[in-house]
Amino acid sequence: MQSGKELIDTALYGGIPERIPVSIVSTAWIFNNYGQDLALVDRDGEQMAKSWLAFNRDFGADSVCPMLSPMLIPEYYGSELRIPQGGFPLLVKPAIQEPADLDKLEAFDPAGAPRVAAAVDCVKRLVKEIGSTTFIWLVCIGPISTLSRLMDTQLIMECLVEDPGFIERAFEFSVEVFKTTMEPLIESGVDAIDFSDPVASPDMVSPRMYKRFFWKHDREVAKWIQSKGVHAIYHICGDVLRIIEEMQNTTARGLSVDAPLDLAQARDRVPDATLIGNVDPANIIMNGTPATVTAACEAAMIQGGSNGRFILAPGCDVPPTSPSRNIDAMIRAARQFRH
Amino acid sequence: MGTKKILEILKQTIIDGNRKATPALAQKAIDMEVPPYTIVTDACSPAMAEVGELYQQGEYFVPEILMSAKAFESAMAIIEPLLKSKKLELAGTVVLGVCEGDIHSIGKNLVATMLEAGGFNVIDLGTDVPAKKFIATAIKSNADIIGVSALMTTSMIGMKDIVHMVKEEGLGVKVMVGGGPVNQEYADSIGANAYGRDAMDAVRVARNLMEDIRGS
Repeated sequence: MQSGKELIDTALYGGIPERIPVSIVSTAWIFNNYGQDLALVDRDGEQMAKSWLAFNRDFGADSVCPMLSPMLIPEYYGSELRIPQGGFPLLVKPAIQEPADLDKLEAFDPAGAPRVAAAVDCVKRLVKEIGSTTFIWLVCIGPISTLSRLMDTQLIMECLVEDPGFIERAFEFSVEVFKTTMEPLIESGVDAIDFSDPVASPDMVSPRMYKRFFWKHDREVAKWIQSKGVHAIYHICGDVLRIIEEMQNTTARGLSVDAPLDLAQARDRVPDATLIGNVDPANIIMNGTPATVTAACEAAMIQGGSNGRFILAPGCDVPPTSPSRNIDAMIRAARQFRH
Repeated sequence: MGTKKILEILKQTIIDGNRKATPALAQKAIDMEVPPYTIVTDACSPAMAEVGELYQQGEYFVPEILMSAKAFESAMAIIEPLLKSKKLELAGTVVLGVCEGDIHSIGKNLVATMLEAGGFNVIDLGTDVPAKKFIATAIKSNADIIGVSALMTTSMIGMKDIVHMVKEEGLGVKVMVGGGPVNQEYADSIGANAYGRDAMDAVRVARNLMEDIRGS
């Protein structure tokens, strides 16, 4: 019988695993569930690892998903963020207030960011304890969307139209920062890096603009990750049907897709891709019941997995207040599902 | 250049999202003695309606709509002081804001612009707005509609509190909701009066709610 690690590895390498694997992509729910303080936990590798090890013991999923804090790079460069009680980080004051501010930012030095060391510590602990059987799936914000925490998203949107040269420079800067940040995590033994790019969503920018400004950088990131011997998993929020072929052309081995996407149509468009998703985080995982979660998971596995490689996962980050019984239902659904 | 032509150019410049050019064009129309109200009804509002159409057709996305909204606002900044003396017929009053714990403002800003272009009086409370503030402002301004936006699954929960407080206070104000994780199912589950899929849909939804209000 394949271990969780083997199931996910097989799916990402383009094979058909013994059963559909499941990954609970979560940067906040996990710590909420185990009583950790979201404002502090990302500075403590031992505590982060403790939560994921407990999750691995209690739920028996195929992967654990340590995170690189989405606050790390923005705060390093002086953005002010805050975490509401039980919520995701909010940008209060961005480091880049106007395009000229970009030129003041220096190269990123991981030694000056304690959260990198905490994430590395967490990953090393997970690799040591469970890495031979459980897939280590690192979750982070990709470089393009990290920029939306260095500067206001509205300013990015304005510059895409009025100052494309600046946006190109800003994206290039962010990609370099991303690579520098990821190096020690890759060395620590992660199996995959799941980088998300919500700003590239077709809910925000046109497929034309995605292709002109975003795609080449995300492809560079995917190729770079995979050149290091680690799987690249690429996530864009919203209904990505119009850009799913371009997403596959980034060469990322896993395409993580959000709840609004019609999985059956996506499967038709990219028959060879490993699709990952796409259970509705808010309406099903947070507000549903185990019965509705099970039904949604089965529907996703039939549409996404009956004729191709598939990993069951939330469509986007699991909301922090989701009931644990719904997470349990999701994992059971994958374990019990048969084609 | 005739008055019809200048209005056409202003309209197209708003559609093109050229915010640097629209103030001068609005001023030129005023200098040509086009009544300010006519500039709004014949150029600015139809421009935003067409922007809405372009969005529906999949031609425009957030950056393009945003720039058109900026161009519209730049023109309105010139025209609005001259409108103050004229009593306009308002489509209704909307108290608008983003749920407490959420500071994502783009969607809410676009809704505000589209509602204003559609003739609504919009009281924009901004982001991270507590439920009580929505209610207090709606009472104070005798609003017809409360519009609530959220982009985060953690903050959309606040919509439920607003609906609950409206009912508890026995207010006649209608509540419309929208934003990334929100859908019709969620709107129904919390007892909201309506759900707007996007900024353009919000105008249609608000107009429908006004028909309900006027018909009751």
